[in-house]
Amino acid sequence: MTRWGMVIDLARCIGCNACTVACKTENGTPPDHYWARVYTEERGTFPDTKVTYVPALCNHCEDAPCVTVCPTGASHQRADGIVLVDRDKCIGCRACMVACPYGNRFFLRKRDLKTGYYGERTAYEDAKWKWFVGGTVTKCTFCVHRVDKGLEPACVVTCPTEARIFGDLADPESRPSVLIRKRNGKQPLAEMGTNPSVYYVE
Amino acid sequence: MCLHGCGIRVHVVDGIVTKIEGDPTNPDNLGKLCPKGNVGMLRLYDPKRVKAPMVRTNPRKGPGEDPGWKEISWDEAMDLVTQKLEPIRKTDPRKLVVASGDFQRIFNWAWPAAFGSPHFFSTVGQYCGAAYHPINGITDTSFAAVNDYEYCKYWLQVGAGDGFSSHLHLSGSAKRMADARMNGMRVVTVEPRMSPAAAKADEWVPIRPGTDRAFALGLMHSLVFEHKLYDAEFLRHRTNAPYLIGPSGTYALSPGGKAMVWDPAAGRAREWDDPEVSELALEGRYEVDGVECATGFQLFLDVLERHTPERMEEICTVPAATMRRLAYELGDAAHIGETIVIEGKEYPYRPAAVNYYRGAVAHKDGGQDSMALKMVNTLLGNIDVPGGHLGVPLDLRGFFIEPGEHGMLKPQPHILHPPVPFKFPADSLQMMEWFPLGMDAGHVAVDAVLNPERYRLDYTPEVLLTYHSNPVWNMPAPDKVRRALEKFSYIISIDVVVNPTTEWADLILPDHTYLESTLAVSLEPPVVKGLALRQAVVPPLYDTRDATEILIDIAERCGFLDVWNGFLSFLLGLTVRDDLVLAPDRKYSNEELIDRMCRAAYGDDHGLEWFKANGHMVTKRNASETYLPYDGLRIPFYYETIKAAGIELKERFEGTGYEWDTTGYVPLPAWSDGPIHGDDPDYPLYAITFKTAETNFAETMSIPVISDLTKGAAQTRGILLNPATARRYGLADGDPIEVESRFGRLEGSAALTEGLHPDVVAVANALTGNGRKLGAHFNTLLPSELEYTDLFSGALESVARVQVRHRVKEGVA
Amino acid sequence: MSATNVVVIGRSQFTMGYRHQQEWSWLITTAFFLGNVGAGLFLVSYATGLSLGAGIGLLIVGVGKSAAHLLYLGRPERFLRVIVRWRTSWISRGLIAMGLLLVCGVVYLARYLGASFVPHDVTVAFGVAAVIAAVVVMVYDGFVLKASRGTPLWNTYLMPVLALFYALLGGTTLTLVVQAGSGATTHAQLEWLEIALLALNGVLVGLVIVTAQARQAAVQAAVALLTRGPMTRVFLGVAVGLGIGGTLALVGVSIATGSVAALAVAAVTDLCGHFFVFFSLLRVGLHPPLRPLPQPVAGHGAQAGVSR
Repeated sequence: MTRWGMVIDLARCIGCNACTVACKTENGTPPDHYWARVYTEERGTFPDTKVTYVPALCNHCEDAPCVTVCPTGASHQRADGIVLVDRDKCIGCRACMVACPYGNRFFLRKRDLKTGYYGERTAYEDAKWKWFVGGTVTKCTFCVHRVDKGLEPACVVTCPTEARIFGDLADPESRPSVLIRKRNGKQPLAEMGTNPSVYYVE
Repeated sequence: MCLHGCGIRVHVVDGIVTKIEGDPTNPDNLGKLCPKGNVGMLRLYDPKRVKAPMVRTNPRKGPGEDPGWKEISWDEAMDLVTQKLEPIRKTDPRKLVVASGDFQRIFNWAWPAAFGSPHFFSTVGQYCGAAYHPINGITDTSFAAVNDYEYCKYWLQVGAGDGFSSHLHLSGSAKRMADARMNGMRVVTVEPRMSPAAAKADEWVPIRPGTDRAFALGLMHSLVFEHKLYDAEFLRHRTNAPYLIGPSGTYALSPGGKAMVWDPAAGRAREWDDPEVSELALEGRYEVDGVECATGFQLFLDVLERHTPERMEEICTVPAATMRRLAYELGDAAHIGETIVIEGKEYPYRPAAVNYYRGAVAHKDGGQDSMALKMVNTLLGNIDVPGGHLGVPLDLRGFFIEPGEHGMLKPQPHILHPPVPFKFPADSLQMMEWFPLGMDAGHVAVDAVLNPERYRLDYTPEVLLTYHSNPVWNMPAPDKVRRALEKFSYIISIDVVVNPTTEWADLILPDHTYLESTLAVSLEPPVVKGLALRQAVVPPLYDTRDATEILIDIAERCGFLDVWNGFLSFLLGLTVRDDLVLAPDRKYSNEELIDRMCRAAYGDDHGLEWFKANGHMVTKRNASETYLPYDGLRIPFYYETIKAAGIELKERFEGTGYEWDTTGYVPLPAWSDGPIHGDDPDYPLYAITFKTAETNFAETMSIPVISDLTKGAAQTRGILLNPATARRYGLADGDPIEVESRFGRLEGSAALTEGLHPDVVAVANALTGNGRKLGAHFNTLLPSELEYTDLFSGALESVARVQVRHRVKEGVA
Repeated sequence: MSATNVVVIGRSQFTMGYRHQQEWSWLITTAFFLGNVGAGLFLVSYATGLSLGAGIGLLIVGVGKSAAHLLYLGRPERFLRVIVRWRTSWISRGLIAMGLLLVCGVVYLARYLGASFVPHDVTVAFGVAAVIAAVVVMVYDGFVLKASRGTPLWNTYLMPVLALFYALLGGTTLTLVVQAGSGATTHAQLEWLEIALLALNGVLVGLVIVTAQARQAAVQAAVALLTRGPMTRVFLGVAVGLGIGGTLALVGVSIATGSVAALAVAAVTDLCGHFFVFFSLLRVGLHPPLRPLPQPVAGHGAQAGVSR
């Protein structure tokens, strides 16, 4: 059985935010909804400073706390591991947002959909926002609409340094599986016991 | 969005652009796309777009004045333009001043010249490439330059974002850089700030701003005198380093007028191409016909001797030991003496190089900065060879390779436009007539408008035409720019959105956005060559017109269509075929021009229709186009061209009674303190600005996705300060602060980071954008005076000495 | 860990740091609080045979808690969907229990409201069912917090215990008030129970703070915000000082003097403390940084304290 996952190569990532923006335009996410984004981590003191760019997205955890706490079944997990929110079932209680250790869920206020990016909705937003329902929670879908057509997620395709590698974790010979093995891939906040489908290699 | 041309694919669903992605068939960006490219459709759908020609109804101009825009028809608008411009064209065309910023349609930059207007009232390179491009052009006829992503193994990055955050074709460059790093290339980044290039480097070497030349000189000192690591054979046979230089600093010429070299075997000087020369002296002082001469390399050694790593450390703060180690690593990694066979041809193999750009060279002595860093590469023999520092041509025309004098490659300092002959007083506001080698210093034009007597102007500018340009925002000392705008009786703007400059306009002519218009482009592509078509993917949303056609229309109405068609034939490369050359009196549509441009480049079967179906003709440059394309011609090590130009310029000024400083025309770089160096108790810190990937080139802060992103991102969330520095001034993270220079001040909030030199205040260009209500506009800190301008290259000192303090609320004592 | 070293980032900030849950605040605190005290009042009133109190308890749950939830939800019209995931979700369980409490409680109370046709056995059975449901309503919010693995401060069984005993405390307080207000005899044991519960809750709150030292960095960071940060006044001052200390003193006065006024004020301070204990705990709910932060470097606080 397929388990979709991603390896993020921190050695490659240059923190350019192409993924952040590609995600926004692929999915048409409203302001402040960053399904993909990049954190900047700074360690040490000058001049021995170390900066690492850490891209983040929904980890599509195998044991997803967001799915467990959802009272309506809106948050659910597909057999291939992709965690989704059914916008027609979600009641907007936001228990999933509180339960997710990674901050990867976003609440869409009804009023946010009225104003759009420019204070008024544009033709772009009219076209892209058809599938958003105010008062519900949104999240990264692993670009399920692309993955189901055999394409890679938008953040992966656009990444100038190819820091995001997508594939089937159940297949030991897939690119992500090999990378995880060879370069000691680590899951984010593994101690939370959520078994994320996203790994980082340094 | 950007001046470069990555291949993109645009998804249009029910007539709406819903997605932009990289074109995987384009070997330039290989399907990758930067954040700006991804969000281009928001420019198309920006509600603030100019939707029809608009005329101002409120005669008062300035901050806070509502222009009272009124939409008018194109016919009315063009009639207004004709009324204003036709008399000027007929009487004194210099009275029209043009500010052009449309890099993609770079051929339109020549339109003012066709009109008869010699001015450049905008930023073209004074903060970035003014000192960089002429040195590239003089060295190997390139416009830009970047290290060899494919073969380089040791990449010393000095004040540049190539491969990480900015400059040439970011998407593809980032991919190539990442691949090279993963394949074991070592990257060392020298920069005051921990930029992405520094963050990803194997080593970050923090440096005091504006002192990169000192670092380069220290590095070369160590390479030459301590490690003895330099490519003597390359210098001897592929550069002018062995040419004999006379007391004036120019070539010592033979009676036959040829440059000479010293033949140690014969014990005498010979002409450079004398077939009898068996050996060339690289070093030494010789007497030739009673005149003291020295080789160019000897003069270099003389200068270098004074620049010990210890002395350079005091200037640039990089420890001498670090300079020595880096010099060794660089020289060792250069594999001097080795060769490599690529595509059947043997080339020198020098997989170590210095890569530099605006951070290192946009300074008062930028020409020397640029020269010094270039010379590290020349010293290693890595110019235009595999693994080394490679020239990048401006556009489809490629390198301008012609044999010059004395066996040299002919220098091409002016790639954007032909050189402008000396004239006094100058016609152009930016005094281009006095910059025989440099670039248009747009900020000088502002100074000249405000102080015409200082420049002995013998006319008064009347009308300003801004074309995709925003001088109020992009020039130094914005207050001065605003005062200069007041001097114009009429301002016409061609643009897509209203910006801080078009707010001053009397008439706005709206252009299509790039997604609504058609163009074939190829600008500064590293690695690749060939035209890519930018085609309209949706019909124009509003009553807009292609700027190219607007300018053609004005040319016709003002009676110089024939001149402009002649220029266009040349600029679009149509002169290769008589049947493609434009008829003087015919008005061509934009698409007709693009069609001819494509056919001129690739033949009749590759016209616009072919491009519309196939997208691009971009291919990877092969080895013979990339490596030593001028093989057999020498390149300069000793910049005699610059010295000679300086001498000539000085002579020209003699008799005018006008003081013009020509001391910047030096053949070799040396350290001297500029106006921003040394102790300055009132302004103890150095303010720098920088770009991030989402704000690389062109302003994108009016696109909310980008401006939102910059507000939360680590490097752009505020004015960066080192925590130790902040403590010294009693500042904490998030505090409201003000930064003040001798020329202006800006406000913002403090953002502390350990990734910054303690002498530095760093202000991202994102903080300067329109998108923020309280813009910390870096340019307000800068001067636009000649004293801060490199009078050789046109570069402006882009570092400001500043003080920083807590912002006191207005009205509070 | 001092609170000034806790780097808390906002939801659209991209420096590495603790992320602050910003979703559950006033309304969810109100809903939890009203559920606790309403169900607690029902339970204690049931035990003391105070039908008026039981009725008021049902009203608090049925009207107050429901209203707070409905006001909070993004799509309140889909409210009924919450019951489907009772197998995994404590929100489902809690809301089912709430429904049961209301239905059973009303049937139980029907006899007292004059519906004498309701058989005695039915009253007893529904009363017992209502009590069980009330207990679930009293603790479920603690389990909701416990189940929120992303917010480590809450991820402890102390939360349901705290919820249960605060609910009992609130129920006791309100029962005393209703008793006093309706002129019924005050049960002295109830006042002593109040004191015992106050002391117990004080201990429980102390345990949350003390045990934090042995738990994840995110818990310690949250506790730093509670005890040495922006929430300190609310948490230590209002919730602990006034809510527990002040109430203890006032109840003592009430026992000693029989002052109804002291009792009334004690009720206010207790309920106030109760509300702000949970409000504080919700507001300092921190998600851990995506990667562990190094020991804080002096001066490198993106934003110290709770950002909003």
